[in-house]
Amino acid sequence: MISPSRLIHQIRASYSAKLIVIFIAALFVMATVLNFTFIRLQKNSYRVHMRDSGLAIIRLLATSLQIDLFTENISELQNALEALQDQDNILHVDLLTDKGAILVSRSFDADRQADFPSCETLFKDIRLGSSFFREWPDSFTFWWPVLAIPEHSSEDALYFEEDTEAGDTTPSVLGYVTMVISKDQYKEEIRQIFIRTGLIILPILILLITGVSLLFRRLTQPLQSLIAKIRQERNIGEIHDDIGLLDTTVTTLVEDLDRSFQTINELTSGLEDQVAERTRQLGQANKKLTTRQEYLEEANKKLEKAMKELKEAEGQLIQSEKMAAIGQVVAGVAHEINNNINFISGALPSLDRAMADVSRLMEKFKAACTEPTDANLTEARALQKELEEDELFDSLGLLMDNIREGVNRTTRIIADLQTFSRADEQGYKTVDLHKAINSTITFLDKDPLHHIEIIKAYGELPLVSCRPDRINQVFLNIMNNALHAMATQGGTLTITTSVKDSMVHIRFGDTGTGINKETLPRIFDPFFTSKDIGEGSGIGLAISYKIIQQHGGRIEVTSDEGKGSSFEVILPVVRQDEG
Amino acid sequence: MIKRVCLLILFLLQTTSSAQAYEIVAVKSSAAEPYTLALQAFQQHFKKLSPSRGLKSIQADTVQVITLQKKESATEISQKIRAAKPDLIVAFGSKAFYHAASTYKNIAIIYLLVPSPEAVAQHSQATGVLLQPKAGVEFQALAQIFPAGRRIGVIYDPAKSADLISTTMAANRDLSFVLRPVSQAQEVAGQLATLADEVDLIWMLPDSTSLSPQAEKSYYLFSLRHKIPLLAFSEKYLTRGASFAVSLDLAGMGRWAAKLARQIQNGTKASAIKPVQIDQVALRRNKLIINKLGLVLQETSK
Repeated sequence: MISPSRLIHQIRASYSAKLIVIFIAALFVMATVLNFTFIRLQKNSYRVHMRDSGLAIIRLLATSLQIDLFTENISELQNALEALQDQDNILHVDLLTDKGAILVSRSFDADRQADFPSCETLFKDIRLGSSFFREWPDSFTFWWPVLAIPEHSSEDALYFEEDTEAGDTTPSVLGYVTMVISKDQYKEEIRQIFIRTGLIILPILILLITGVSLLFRRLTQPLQSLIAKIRQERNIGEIHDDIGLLDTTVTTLVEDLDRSFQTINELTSGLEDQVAERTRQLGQANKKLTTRQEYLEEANKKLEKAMKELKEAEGQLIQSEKMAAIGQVVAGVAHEINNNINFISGALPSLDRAMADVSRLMEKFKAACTEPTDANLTEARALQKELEEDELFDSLGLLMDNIREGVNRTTRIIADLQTFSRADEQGYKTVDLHKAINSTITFLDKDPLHHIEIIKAYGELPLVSCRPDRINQVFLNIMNNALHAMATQGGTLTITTSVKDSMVHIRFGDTGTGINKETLPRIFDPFFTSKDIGEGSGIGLAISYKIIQQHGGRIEVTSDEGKGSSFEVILPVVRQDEG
Repeated sequence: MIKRVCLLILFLLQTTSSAQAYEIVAVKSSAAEPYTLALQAFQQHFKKLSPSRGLKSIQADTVQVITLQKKESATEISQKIRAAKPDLIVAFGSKAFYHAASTYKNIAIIYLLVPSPEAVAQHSQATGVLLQPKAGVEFQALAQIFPAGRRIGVIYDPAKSADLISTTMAANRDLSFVLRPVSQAQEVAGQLATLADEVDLIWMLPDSTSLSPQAEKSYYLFSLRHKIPLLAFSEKYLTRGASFAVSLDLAGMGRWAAKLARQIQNGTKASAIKPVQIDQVALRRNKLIINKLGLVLQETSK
């Protein structure tokens, strides 16, 4: 059993116990205040109820007594008051004239005359006219005027309902009814309210206190554990209360923290020097970086310039490649035309001679005709015989045929040249690729052609939508490469055409030197060439590849070193943007 | 030509109508229902009595209605009536009759629903329909349904109702009237108490002393306590506690007023026309009260 002083000491020492005590005290105060407020409200409410019911009774009484008070029928008035005897609360009723004189007075509890005011006191209140209700220590008093019914405004009103409005007439007062109601029931009700609210609030309070105590204990459990731990670790007995203990602990911790900060500060000052040194180093590094950046920018500019120059060079190379191709074509054309001109120029001296013989013969026969002498005729016939007239005309025909052949061949070359170049036609056309290949063959490098056979294994090809000048350039390039590959040992260039899945396949297969495996992946790289310096620019195949790509096609290459290569140009029959 | 003829006809109509139109002003004492019903009956019947030929059939006489308001002063009422420029005034109720008589002395006035016209105003050109039926006719009607009512108790103020009592008694000599004179309303209850075992019926008179609002309740209490029926002169009392009441024939009064108006319009002087007095009345009864009083009525009666 703990003694009260010991209990107080323990409560003072325990922080949670203090909190619980304060909270319980606050709950008590709150419950008491609430209880009294509630009782006060109930009291007021019941008082209002008493007033309203009292006023209702007295108003009814005033109305019911109207005729008897008007006629001052005392016996009827007394009878009316007797009816109130059964009402427990009513202590006394007075009926007064309008001047305040008592007409009838009836007390229902003679012993309690002293509990309510006299009739004179009441009439003073009535004269004041402010209210119809007054509360005394042991009773409530009520009063109400008995009003006379207003007289008819005219004789017509005897016959018909009057059209009256509120406030039309002020009724006269016949008298007053006063009533005293005991407060016993009111007091009893208030007492009951006290008891009832007490009975309701007390268990609630107990429950609340119990609940709150448990809750507090649970909430302060971590704190208690902490305090216990501190006590255990710091070996502080029961000298301090909880707050004191925490205070001491916190003070110690703060001091430790101060010391720690001091150490940190000391370390920090050394660190600052390091930081300054590092900053200096970083500054230097930064400076170097800036210099390097400037150098890089400079290099970048140079590179850009070089790139520009390279592009210009590339453009020049492309131009020179074009020029080379044109040169080759021109050389081919010149060669062909020269051959054909040989036909004509070779025939011309013989033709001149034959024409001179014919002219001479014509002169002789003309003279024989002008002077038809035997001598002239003989001379003419002799010349005719000498010249072998038939042979002369045969040779003339032959010469004319040679000339015609030369002209025809030249015409064909020009046509081929037109087909090849199509320089006048911009944009895409539907082209017969066989014609295009044939015309390109005309302009191939003539030197290797002597010991190279071209085999045309054409299949059925539809007209293909393409740019003919570009496509011819590709064919020329591929075929020239093939011829060069076979230039030394000769060989066969086989051109095969076919259609598969709306794609045209033109395969150029040679039996030349072939391409080694290392070189093969790079043959379409710009400026890559396996030829000697000055023989090739190295962009012919790159341009060809690009042209075919622009047409939506591709070039597939297979090669077997020493045996030959195959370039297969694959083109769509209809361009994709057309379809 | 046609235009000219039309204009001439229009001109004639304009001039003749102003000469022939008869302006009747109906003045109501208030907006109370009895005045309105009587006015409606008057208007309907007056219209029926209008000629079916001649110019009057084209432009009928007009009836302007003025309803008096409670808060209007006498001057305002008079101005209102004058503004209507009447050729004939029909006054519904005492107030209307009083103000009409005060406004015009020489214009004919027909009054109806006025309890005591002579007491209200003295006017040389006034005639009308009396509110009081012919003396004693209510008892003749009562005898049809309640023959047991032979002893009639009457509370009256001699100063106000002596004439009515005497004429009624003269007209119903077979009945026994038990008279109780009073000079003020406070006496009514006491006097009624003396009639408890002496009468079969109480006749409520149109007497402002014996039937003051304050005294009125005494009749009902007396009737219920002593199981003696009340005969009232107006239906107003039927719902309050009277057993029988004279039913005022408002439509009939309106019709009579219309006839009088036509007579005056046709040239008869109002002073030459005697006021009309209704000689037949209908009685109405409060079945609830009759049952509570335990009265036995004639089965054939209505």
